[in-house]
Amino acid sequence: MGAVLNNLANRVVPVVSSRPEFLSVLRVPGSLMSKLVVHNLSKQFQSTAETLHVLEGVELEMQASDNVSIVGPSGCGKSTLLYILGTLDNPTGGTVELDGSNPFKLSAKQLATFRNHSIGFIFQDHHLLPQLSVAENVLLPALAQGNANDELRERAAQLIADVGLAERSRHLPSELSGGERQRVAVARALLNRPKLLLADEPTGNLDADNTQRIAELLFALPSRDETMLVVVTHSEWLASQAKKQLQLKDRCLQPV
Amino acid sequence: MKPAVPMFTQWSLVRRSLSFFWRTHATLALGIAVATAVIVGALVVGDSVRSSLRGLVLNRLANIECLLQARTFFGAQRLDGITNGITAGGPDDAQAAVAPVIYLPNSTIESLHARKTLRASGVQVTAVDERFFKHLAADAALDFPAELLEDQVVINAGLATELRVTVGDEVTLRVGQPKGVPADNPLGRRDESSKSIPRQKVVAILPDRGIGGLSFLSGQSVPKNVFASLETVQDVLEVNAQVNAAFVFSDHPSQAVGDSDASWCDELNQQLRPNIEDYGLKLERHRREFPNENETSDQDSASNASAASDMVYDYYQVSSDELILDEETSAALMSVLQAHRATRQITYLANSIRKVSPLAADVNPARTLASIRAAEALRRERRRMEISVEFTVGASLGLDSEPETRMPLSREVPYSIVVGVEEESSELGLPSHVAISDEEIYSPYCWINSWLAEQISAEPGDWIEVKYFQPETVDGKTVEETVVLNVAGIVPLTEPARGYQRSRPAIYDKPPSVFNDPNLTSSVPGVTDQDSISNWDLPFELKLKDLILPVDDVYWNNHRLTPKIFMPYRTASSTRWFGSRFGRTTAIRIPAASVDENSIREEMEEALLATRGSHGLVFRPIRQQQLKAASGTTPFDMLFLSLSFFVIVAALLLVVLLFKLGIQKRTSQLGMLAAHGFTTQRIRGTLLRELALVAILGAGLGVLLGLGYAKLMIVGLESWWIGAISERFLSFHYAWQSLLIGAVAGVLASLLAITLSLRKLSSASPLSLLRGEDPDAMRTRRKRNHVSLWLAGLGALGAMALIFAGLGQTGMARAGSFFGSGMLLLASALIAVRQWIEAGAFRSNARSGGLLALAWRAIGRNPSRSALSLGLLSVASFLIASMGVFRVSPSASGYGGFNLLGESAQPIYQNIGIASVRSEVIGQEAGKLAATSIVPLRTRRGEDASCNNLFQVSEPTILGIPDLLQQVYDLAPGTARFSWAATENPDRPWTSLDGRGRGTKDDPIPVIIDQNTAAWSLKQGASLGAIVQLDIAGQTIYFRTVGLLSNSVLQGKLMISERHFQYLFPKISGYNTFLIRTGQFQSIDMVSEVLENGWGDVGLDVTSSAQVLQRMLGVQNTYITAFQALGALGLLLGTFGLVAVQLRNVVERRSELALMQAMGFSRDRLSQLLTLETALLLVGGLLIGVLCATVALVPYVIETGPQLSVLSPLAMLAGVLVVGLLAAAIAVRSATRHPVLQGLRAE
Repeated sequence: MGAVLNNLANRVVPVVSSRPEFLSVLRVPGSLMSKLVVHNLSKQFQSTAETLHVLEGVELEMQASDNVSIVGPSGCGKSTLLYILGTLDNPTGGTVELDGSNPFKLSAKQLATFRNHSIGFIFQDHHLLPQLSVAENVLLPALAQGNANDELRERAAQLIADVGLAERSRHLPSELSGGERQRVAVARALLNRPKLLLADEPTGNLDADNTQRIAELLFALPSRDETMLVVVTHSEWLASQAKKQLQLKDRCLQPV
Repeated sequence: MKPAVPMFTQWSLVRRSLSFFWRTHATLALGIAVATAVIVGALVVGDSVRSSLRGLVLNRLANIECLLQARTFFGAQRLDGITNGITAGGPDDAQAAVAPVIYLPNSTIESLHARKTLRASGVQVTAVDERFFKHLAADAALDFPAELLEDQVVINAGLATELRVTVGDEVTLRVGQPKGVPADNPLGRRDESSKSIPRQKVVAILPDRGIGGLSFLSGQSVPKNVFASLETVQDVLEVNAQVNAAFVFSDHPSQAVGDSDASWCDELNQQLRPNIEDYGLKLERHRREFPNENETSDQDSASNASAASDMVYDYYQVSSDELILDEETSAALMSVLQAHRATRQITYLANSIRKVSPLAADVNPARTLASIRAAEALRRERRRMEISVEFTVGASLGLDSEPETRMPLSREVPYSIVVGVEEESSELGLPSHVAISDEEIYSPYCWINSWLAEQISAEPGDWIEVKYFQPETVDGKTVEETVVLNVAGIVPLTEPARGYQRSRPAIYDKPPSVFNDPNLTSSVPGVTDQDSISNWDLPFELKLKDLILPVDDVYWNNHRLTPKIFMPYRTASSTRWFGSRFGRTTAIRIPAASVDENSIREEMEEALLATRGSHGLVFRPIRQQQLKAASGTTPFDMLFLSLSFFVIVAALLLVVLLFKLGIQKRTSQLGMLAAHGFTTQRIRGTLLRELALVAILGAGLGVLLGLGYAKLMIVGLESWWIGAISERFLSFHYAWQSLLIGAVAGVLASLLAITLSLRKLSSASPLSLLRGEDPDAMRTRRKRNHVSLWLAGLGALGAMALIFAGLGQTGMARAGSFFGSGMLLLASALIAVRQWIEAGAFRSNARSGGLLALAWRAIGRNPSRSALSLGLLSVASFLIASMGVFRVSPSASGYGGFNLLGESAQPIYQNIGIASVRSEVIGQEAGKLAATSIVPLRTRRGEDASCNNLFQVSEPTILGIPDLLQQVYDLAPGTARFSWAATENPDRPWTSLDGRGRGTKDDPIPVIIDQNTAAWSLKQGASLGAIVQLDIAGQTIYFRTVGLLSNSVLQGKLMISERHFQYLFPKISGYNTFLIRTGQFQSIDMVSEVLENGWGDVGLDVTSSAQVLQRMLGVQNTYITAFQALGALGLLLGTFGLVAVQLRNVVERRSELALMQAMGFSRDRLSQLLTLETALLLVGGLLIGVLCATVALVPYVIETGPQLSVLSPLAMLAGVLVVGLLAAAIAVRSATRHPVLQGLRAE
């Protein structure tokens, strides 16, 4: 099945790339050939007194539609690893390759484009813009490269419906509950069909019901677009929902 | 079900953010509004000043477009029909109309009030007739009575108030005499310089605005105006139908510079054809025939001459009402008359003549005529050199004094005429009367007439001694000179059968000679019209009356002023003899044989056109000139922008502070945007779009506020700051361009400030933004610390260097040193304090415990905010603390110890600095002035170039400084002297004026100016050696600065040496300005009263120098006051900014404060803590500023001693401190009212 799709993509992509209007209809999920390879990753922090080694020899490999949960005690470097994968932070050593290319070699502008197209973020604190409605918050990543076109508005509407907030698309974040806000954050992270979705304690502030609802969305929606998912959490239950469960121990990833 | 998702663009995001954060944006917009308001306000003040000055000009000139103001009186009929066919170049095709008037700008007026005479000098008397009323615009004429009858006057309100007169009261006018023989000439009148027009009834009082404020000088001060009847003034001045000025009215007068076509005046000038009488000249024909005709002096009788008669002489003669033709006029006339064999002559009065034995030195072989002729070429060259140095060494160079006396060999013949004639004059044929050889004739030589030869038994080769007064008086006194002349020959004089009678010339029965010609002497009123020498009415005493013998009266009876001595013109016209600064020619003689009177008249009038500028016989576009002067005034917009500089800076710092406070709330949002792929540029672009809209809104509000601010400043200028503009004349006016420029400047300045503070945001990583970290706190501290500390150290070193450099400096150099060192110190201090805060100094203090420790810690919490607050406050307090030092009080060095300043409306020709002269004029009263020193200064009146005048000055008043001024200081070394900003000769500064100079570009005249006048009014010559270029009476004159006075009473004037003054303005006689120093125990009031009463008829006005100086320094002091007031406003703004910052702190720390409350802190104690934090920053900021100001002022204190005026700035700073603390306390109290639980929930 994968080979067929690959074949199809090889034929279709050149056509649609010259006719952008087809993109909304025929676009093969960006994660079609996605592959994340983390090799020998390390991260150190330099303070005035000492060098703090947070990550050392981290290895990780993921394919499209894979999802991984990472657990570990507070301060062990889970979020640091996530931010490095999301290119918000730089590694001290090792490589991160997404589809064979190292994003840390990109210029600042290219890196921004890379993040916009390839990475999706879900934070513990939803980071919704309080001045924007649900729909506008979801559409916000579209503004990074221009304005929201019809395709993206369509997709935003779909995602809002998918996260169960169709009735509340015009509401402001202040009019939503914590769970609802986090669902908006999920929808926002998926707007541009990222190859890699990174969730940092996505249920950290939520109750059990909302945690379950978010977990369903997290593991269902990305796989629809064959997006890879990395979830960093303290929640054992949430971690257990992932196909692959890892723990960050002794500065490197180990199977649970 | 999918929801409908609306369009979402960048602008949607901007719109949403704008409305969501409206409170933050509103405060930001307010900050921008303040900055814009200050800029707009300053520009509008500039608009208002320019517009008000323009309005003043338009108002006071009514519909007068051009002005002719002649130096002499001319026939009013010359103006008839001159405007026919002339229309202005503008679209309205305005029609011109002319009104001849007599305009006497330096008159005096007196009124009697409560039996006391009130006198006002410097009054402008304009004598008008029906033509003035006919052409004056109807709205301006409204205030006038329908007609102005004889003995009726109209005055303006200011003058009426000064004289305390109302309609129906009578006043006496004293006006200047028409020009005659120059008063500095021994034959000039010095005893009477004004004429009285008594019992003039005031029939109307005009408002000072409008035609009542008529003035042709560029200045905003209200003139004292009197409008009188033209006929009355003409009668009193005995000028028949003559006038000395003309106003040209337009029915569509120009309203702005460039409105009127300049060619209008040119056309009028082309139409105006003055005749030679208008230049004060006269052309007469003198002819004598024998035996059938008597001597005649007019053409009518000449035309009746019989063909059978022998012509003795027949020539035309051009002479001047002023006795002497000035050099310009003489040269112009000779340029056309030379072709008609015209020759020049100079006539002079010898006091006595006698035959003497020569001294050995007289009989010098090198001085024989033969030697002289042999070296004629060389002599010509020497003569040219002599002329070139004459004006630099001046007329005071007398003839070589002869210590030895010559033995008299005859009686002294008193009061005789000597004439210098050009030897080439073939009519007189003097060379043919030489009876001895050239080797026997010694220079200087002469011919004497046969009558004189007989009287003193002189023969060719004999020597005669001639005594005469120097052609220029010295200090108003005549000085007698004695010279000897070698008699080269004797010319014949025929005795008439019957002598002269008042109305009939002498009658001859024997042929008279060409030397029987009394017309060789120009007519002198009081002399040529008298029957006897004894009756001569001369301005000096005829001390030799006793020498007059009957035979001398017989000569007078038979020959009148027929010259007894004839000299070569070249010798006689030299300034070593009878030539002077007034001229070298008394008449030009043209043989009548080959010329026609009409044709030479025309030729002369054509030639004289080149000189009419200096005679004032030209129309000048007075309205355009004044409009230009009004528009080129002190740039008040720039001035107020500078004065408001700190308010603008404070407002912009406030904008930055408010922006930072706003953006810090949104840091994590920005991080989220970066995480989702927004580039830094896009984030910044989105923010700038949002803020640009805020800035536009703020600027719009600022424009409205600016209009109010400008109104407030205009109210200030018209009241508290009246010293800056002298007169109340301002009205509110704004130009749309100013509002637009102000708004754009406000937007751009705010956006620039915001963009600069956004730079740090750009360099922050998305992750740190996501975490909500303050971008200001994100930095590589160690690196920055080093750079900053180096910068602070270098700044402090630079400041010290500037402080040392400022020692001994004055003026701008000192100001530069002060501000440079102050600002460097301030910057260094602020950098150091910031580093101190960042280094955790405030945190370590927390260990000591207590509220103070907690407050210290809070300050260290946000170093950037704290440092910005400190900076805002310290800059303001620095300015307020230091500016007061530059306030100046009048001191004796401002007026050089001369505690009184006198100015007379009409010149005083005598030197009233001499006690004996004072006694002669005012008798016993002069005894009261025994210990008073008076230095009279020659004055060419011009415009006031002091800081009191807001108009652009082109022709400032020029003073001629006599040697006496320096001598006064030399004789009394301990007395107060003028304070100098710079001088070429620190020991004897006034002698710097003595250098040579002819006023050309290559050879400028040395000049001393007040530094403020040079820097601000003239905008040239503000440093030693600098060249000042001025157009005076149509001639460009160059001056070289040799001294700069500092804050002196002579502000607004140019000072040159008296000799250069006389060279530049030969026609100005007498003195108008007087520096007066009272004796040690003399009362200023008594001295003023004696002087004003003694010389009241010439309008001498004596004022306290300290008062005059106070008024002049008032401008500078007022600017300092305004600067301080605006600085305080800025400081207040800064204080409110600080309070806003603290409030923001309270909001940020709400949970922390709630926790403290939960732990038992009372609300009062929390308020105290927060107020203490504000107080620490407030006091810290004020202290840093005051300390830096104190250090920067060290050079000033070292040089002038501790005379700092500290009270006013301290009071101002204390006021700001109190207001700041109150505002902080109130704000904090309201902010801490939230319930504890709400605060804890926020956590």
